[in-house]
Amino acid sequence: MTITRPAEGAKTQVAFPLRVNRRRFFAIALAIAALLAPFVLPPVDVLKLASVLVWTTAAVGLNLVTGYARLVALSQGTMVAVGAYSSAILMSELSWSFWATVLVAVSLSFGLGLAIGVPALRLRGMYLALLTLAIAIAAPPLIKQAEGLTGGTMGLPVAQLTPPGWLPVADDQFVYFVCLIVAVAASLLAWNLVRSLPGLAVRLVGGLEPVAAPLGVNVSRTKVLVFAWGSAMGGAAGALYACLVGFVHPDSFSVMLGATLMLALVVGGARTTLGPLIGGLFIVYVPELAGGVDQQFAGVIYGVAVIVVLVVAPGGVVGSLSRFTRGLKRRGRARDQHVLESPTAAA
Amino acid sequence: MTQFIQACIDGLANGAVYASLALALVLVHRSTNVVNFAQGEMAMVATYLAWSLCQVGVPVLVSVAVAVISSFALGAVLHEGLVKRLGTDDELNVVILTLGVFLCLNGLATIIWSGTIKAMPSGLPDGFIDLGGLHASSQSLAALGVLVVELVVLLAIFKFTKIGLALRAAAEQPLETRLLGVDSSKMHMLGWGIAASLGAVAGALAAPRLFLEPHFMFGVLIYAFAAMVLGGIDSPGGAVVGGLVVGVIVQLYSQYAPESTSGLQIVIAPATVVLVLLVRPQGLFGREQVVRL
Repeated sequence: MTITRPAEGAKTQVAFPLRVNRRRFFAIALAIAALLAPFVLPPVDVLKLASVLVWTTAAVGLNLVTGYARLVALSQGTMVAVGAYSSAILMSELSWSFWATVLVAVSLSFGLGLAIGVPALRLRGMYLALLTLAIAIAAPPLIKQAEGLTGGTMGLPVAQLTPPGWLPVADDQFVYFVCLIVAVAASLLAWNLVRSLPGLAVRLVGGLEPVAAPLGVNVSRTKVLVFAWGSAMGGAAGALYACLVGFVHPDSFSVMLGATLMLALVVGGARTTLGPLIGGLFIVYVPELAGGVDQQFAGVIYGVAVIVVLVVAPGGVVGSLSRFTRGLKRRGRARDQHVLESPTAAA
Repeated sequence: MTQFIQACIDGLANGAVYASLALALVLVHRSTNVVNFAQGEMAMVATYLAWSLCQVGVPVLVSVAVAVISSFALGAVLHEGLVKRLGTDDELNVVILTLGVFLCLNGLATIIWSGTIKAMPSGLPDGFIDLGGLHASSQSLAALGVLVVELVVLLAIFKFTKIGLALRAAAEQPLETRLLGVDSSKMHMLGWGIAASLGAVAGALAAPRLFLEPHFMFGVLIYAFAAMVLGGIDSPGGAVVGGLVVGVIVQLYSQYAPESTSGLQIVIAPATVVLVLLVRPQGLFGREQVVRL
């Protein structure tokens, strides 16, 4: 009697239902939800989801740097600041269009990432953490000092982003879609990178650095470029932030932002595709759920969540979920095997 | 000229506070190879504990002593319960863990003791020493004195006692040390405990002048990082020198820098870090990091 395995992707009677095209189904469902949400929810919630997408974009960049390449980057908050301020200044002083400012924001933060990445090459883990921490700490006071350019402690208002006349969407929906486009673009870029050969180089440098160089990877170039690209995504997130919030202030980009992004990424799931999105949801909705009682509860919840994740489930939410479903899949397959082996199965 | 020397004296006093927290950071790194970003918050919690004891009438110095001892327990528990579980190779995750602890402690302190500013007595007699136009308060002298004592005791432990040797060995080569019969993870826990106690002392020194509120150790922590990097991440003596130097520089800046740039004072700390890391990453007294493949 031969055991015939069902063809890959074919529906089987006893297969665990999610085995069939699980990933594709889920992705399509998510896409539909994302596209419909702004038309179904009230503007307040639409804008909240837009902010989720802003932090997701920043977290995607951080995922590349700190998740895959294992370079501690507490400076991501500063990159968001760079993007936000360049966008704000160009839009309010020089009346640039939003997308043009996005290009500038991305370029500037890319450049800053290069500037940090190159000298950081000779710094081991802890030292790099301290360097990026120093940059994150120095940013708000420096922004405040450059009053002429940045508005100092008064902050800088940003012009409202309005949809072009031919687009039948409300203001909040338009902002949401702008954020969605950037977030999806960043996620796709990251997703593609990770699965490519350069992405393999990045993962080697992150996980098994001594092996990378002998295998032909230019470790220095990889590290610097990853740092720069991750920072560039932070800059893009900053540009989105500026147009979403309509106002930039130095204190919004303190070292806490960099730390929060890192915590959110870890809780969502480092080195996963959707981890940054979960992280973004975490950042936006935890203070809500906690803030009812006490603002400080938000901080405690962040802290506890990260601690729990690190000790119990290092893969974060997404990582743990995929481990869980993989376990179910294995059990499902074993069940199939069992049924197929029974004497009544077709020979 | 007297103004300059006075500024230096005040700077040394502030620097002593930074240095005492830097000592704690150095000890943690020396024993477990990680930077504890929550060191300041741990010190803050200990100081609040001392304050609470003072409120119920316990004499200040006794309260501080109790806080220092409880801090040892906190440090040991944190290491045993959390840090140890992450594995010794995972520096990145430990950094993130300490950030999480930072947020937890900050939030908990605000919830328990509220954000209102409180005054912390120093437990020392009010007084100044006046010498030729220069004066130093009793608090300043106490800070410097405590710092020197801490440094001497630490160095003595490291150099002359068996436990100090075990601590150093467990930090550099935990596996080999275990083979020699020393429980490495107990040594790591000890390191964290002592460091937490040092942090508590730093908090007790800082609180009378900075006033007690949940964020009061933020600034101290930042300057302590600068001190640690400047002096050498593994060097207790370096931490002290670094702290004192940073303290003096900051004081001189606030004295002589133009009014318009006063907001940049806090940038001295990260600027020091960046400068040192770019020019001489191991700091003044640290050892060069060599990675053996």
